[in-house]
Amino acid sequence: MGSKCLRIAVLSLLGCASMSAVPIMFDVNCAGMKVGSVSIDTSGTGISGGFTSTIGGPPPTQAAAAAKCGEDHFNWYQIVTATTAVGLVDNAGRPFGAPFVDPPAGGFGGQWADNLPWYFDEYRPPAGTAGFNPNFLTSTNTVGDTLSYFDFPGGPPGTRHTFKTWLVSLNADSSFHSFHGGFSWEWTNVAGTRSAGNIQLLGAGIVPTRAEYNDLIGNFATKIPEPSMLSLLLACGTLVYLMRRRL
Amino acid sequence: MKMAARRSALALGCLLPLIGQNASETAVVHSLVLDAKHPQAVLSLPEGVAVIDAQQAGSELSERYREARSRGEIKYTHGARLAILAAGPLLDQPDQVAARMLQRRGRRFTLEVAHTSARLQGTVLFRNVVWRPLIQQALPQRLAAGRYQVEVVWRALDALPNGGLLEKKTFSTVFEITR
Repeated sequence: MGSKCLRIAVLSLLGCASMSAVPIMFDVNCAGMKVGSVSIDTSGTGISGGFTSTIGGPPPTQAAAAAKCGEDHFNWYQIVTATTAVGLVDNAGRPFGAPFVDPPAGGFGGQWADNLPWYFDEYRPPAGTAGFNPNFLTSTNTVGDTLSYFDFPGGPPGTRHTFKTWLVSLNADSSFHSFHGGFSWEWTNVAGTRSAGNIQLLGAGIVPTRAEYNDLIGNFATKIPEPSMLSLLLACGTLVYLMRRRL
Repeated sequence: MKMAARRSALALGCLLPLIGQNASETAVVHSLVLDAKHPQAVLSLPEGVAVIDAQQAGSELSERYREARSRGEIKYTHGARLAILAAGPLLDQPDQVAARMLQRRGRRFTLEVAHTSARLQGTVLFRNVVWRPLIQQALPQRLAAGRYQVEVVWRALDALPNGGLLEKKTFSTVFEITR
């Protein structure tokens, strides 16, 4: 009886340690028409995939899919729903914890991120900004018919992060347009074995709840920041000064 | 593959080639960044070392590396412009790599490469992309006929350039110069 209980316990633990690695795929529709599909799979110790357009051209393009949806382009919106990591502080020194938008505004762990809530950066920082990686730009990850997606989280043994990720469409100024379906997944480090899996469809038409979106984006801008009035005044002042010196 | 080439061309800030005695001895660190459309191109590239004819035109470096490794010991003719290609461990976005100067002792070449390792240090990462360093190091021209050994030592350090050792891996290969 005792050994049977022990065996069940061990099997349960193994079940927790090994996650299912089943890929997911879902269609993206706009105005009653399929414009493409999202496919996501495990990839080494992380997950990768993308949104591939099926309209435009030929060949199909991301731009054609965006136009059909009445928007400018696509990105992802990702939140960390739970994590065992503690003492998290963003690049600005603000403490944060789950649930939170990934990446936090301004970035985390020395990695630069823009101040929009979308997964890939919508704009570049000033030249020479520490921690900027062009591989996280939306423009780098939008090629031809595909918007890529990838994530390879990390943490010491015993770490577990859970995520929810949605495809999001944006206007030209990077402001929100609409959500187009999503998935949840998790990443673990069990005694040094890193793995991602348990990728689950969130279901057609399932958009982030208020707690998963509105309540989390307070620190973020809603669109690409425009030059401030002060910057404009300074620029005008400098111009006038230079013109007067030339006269 | 176009995207892979584009990504490889992007300077990451982790490219820290160190200058050797002259320009021909400069080691170049190529960063092969994961392409979500072809993740296995980077994920499955085996760690190791190969020697290629650098003058020979051909496909991407990673493909030439795979091909040279699959051929085993290779013979080159005297005067060929040879280069070492060394693929390192899978690294994370914050990691950095620095190749040190190529050392020669008789018919044995040794290249040391130092790198940080977010993985080995258990760094907490959320948004992250993995990449693999591919080192390209020119060998001296006009090597005398004979059999040579190339050894590449990868040292994972807790900080560059002289942090504590976390892990050490050594790879080697041999090639022959014929008349």
